[in-house]
Amino acid sequence: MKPFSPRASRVITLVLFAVFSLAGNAEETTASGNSIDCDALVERIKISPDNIYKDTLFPQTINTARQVCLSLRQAVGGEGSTPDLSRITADQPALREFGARAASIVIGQFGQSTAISLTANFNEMATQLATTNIATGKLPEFRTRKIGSKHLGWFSTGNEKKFEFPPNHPDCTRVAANKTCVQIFNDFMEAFNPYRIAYDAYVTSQNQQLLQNINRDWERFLDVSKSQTAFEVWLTTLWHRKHFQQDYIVGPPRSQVIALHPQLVYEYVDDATDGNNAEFGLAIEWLGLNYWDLKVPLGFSVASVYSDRADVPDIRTGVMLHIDNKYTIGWGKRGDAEGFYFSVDFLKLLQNKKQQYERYVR
Amino acid sequence: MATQIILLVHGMGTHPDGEIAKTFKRAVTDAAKCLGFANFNLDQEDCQLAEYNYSGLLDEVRQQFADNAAARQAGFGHLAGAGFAAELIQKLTDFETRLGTDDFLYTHWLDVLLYGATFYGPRIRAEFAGQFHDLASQHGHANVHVIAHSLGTAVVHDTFAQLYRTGANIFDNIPDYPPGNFNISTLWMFANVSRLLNLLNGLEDPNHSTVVPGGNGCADFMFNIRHQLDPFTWFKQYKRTANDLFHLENEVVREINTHDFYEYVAAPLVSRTILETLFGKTIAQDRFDACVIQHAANTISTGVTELKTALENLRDDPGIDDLKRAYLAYKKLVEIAESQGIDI
Repeated sequence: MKPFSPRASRVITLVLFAVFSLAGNAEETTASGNSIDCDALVERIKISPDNIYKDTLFPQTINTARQVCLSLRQAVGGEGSTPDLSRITADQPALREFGARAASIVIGQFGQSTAISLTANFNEMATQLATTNIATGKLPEFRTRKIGSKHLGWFSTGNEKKFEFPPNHPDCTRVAANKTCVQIFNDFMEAFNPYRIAYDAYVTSQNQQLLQNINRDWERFLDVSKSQTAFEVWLTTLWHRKHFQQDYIVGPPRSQVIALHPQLVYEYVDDATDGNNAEFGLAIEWLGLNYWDLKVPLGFSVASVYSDRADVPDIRTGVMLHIDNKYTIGWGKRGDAEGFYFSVDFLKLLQNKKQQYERYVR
Repeated sequence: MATQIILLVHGMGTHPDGEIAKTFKRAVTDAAKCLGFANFNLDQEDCQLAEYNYSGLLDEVRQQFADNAAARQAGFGHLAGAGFAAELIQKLTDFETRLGTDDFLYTHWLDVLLYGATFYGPRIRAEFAGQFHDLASQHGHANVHVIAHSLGTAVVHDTFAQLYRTGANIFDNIPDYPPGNFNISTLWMFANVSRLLNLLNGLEDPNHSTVVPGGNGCADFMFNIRHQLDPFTWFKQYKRTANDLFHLENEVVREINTHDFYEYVAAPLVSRTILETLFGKTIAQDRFDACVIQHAANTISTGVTELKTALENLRDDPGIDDLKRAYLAYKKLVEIAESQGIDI
């Protein structure tokens, strides 16, 4: 169920991270193992030549992006099974200064405007960046959207009311003679947001790897685990309710509950009349568990077998063992009559073939 | 503006691939015409429709239960003298053999149970989380809009509540996002049953989860849409309040099935909000007012007032008499629809 240790998982993520971040110019990079070329990553950040924040804010964006990347690399590349969080504090001064600089520039431009009231939003952003950390903290992203006739601007992590701005206004032309308000805030978005480039790439690749693992486990569970009745599915869910009620996305259960499960078996009873020793019978598993995901999947249950016999009791109760989610052997006894039986989970075998066919058709 | 991704999640019942996207497209296009955009063509807007379909999995599960039970019954039928044991098997498998039928009970209500009370719920959430994450990382979370209907609202709510985790740590080896850092643009919940499903699965309470707009949530804007006479939204109503969380209500009845997704989207108040928010259209008030009148022209009016009054009483102070009145009003409405040849 957990094929990779946390450390191995992070190394894989790091490699994916490098591939994600540097897609398109992989030849420029030297990403291998736990080494990422932050310079190459930062070089991908581009800005329009006429962006009004090109000289005032953008150089600090580049510097902050590099700091965040280095911090991530240090944290993830650290030894041991858990990231060294003390090593991610290096980015904090850079983030604090970056937030303060961005707020000071824009509030300086629009702080006096009666048409565009954005001071609270930018101060909130600066405060968040002053106290954040890349492991658990807020990393604001600037966004705009036109809704009907309104233009709105905000930071994704903010709780302040989104600020409204007109598409064009003298307060904007005062800031940049040849630009509308919409263009100015688009410029800010282009100049500000790339400080997160390494963070976005890391979280994205980490989550992708983890979700792929979880979904692969589910696929395997649905494909290879023992066939269950609706009642058993429900009981299995109850049995693992703690696992399923975690506050995050989880994989399949580690075991399956077996209860009132009927199946066909082929039983041998030595005490039965000669020629009548081996018969098909009907088995009911009363209660048991199947560990479907062990190296050799194994399950057990208490079961009774019924087969129509002339000279020994028809019903024997004993133990049933499941091997590899498909094969079943069992033993039952009543009085002196002992029976041994085996069975194959044909339903699962057929189901797998049918699923394969349906997926192929899809 | 970058290409906008609209991810649709269907409700209960069987939904062929592509069906909900087609319905959405049809409803928005029809509504756009009503609102004055005669040439609106969703294919020419800078957006892509995607959908998450879980009905295939649930249909397969129901069919497997039914097939397996039928195979057991058939196999045991061949046993000589099986007597009472065969009868027991018959009883154990009787229910499951019916699960493959197309009855409303099995195709709709069983979906609710399978999602809410069995491990197929967590399986659906993991699959949806994977698909959502792939789309969002490819196009940027800021360009993603999620639209869910009915049972889909529970799927989306529960998945997002588990993805956008308060206290998430990017190094915790759990697939999650710190709230606010990766918010999607808009979230639309039609006929929101997430609180009802919460009774079954006991996950995060929608009234307190991170599935809310803002810096401690998962989206920039959220819209909760309900029809006053949609029975699925009568109980455990979603009434949370927050900045940029908008509740839109419709009370016009043009179809007896007030739960219908097309009808939900085509309502002028809803479609205006969709066109303005997702496609940046501006709709003049007089055009909107005209559309409201046009939309309401096909209203089924007889019987609706009685049903509405009865439901309001039922909601405010439920008693046996109110239940009876609501039932009779609904029955009367159904009779009216049938007399008009409307298929319910």
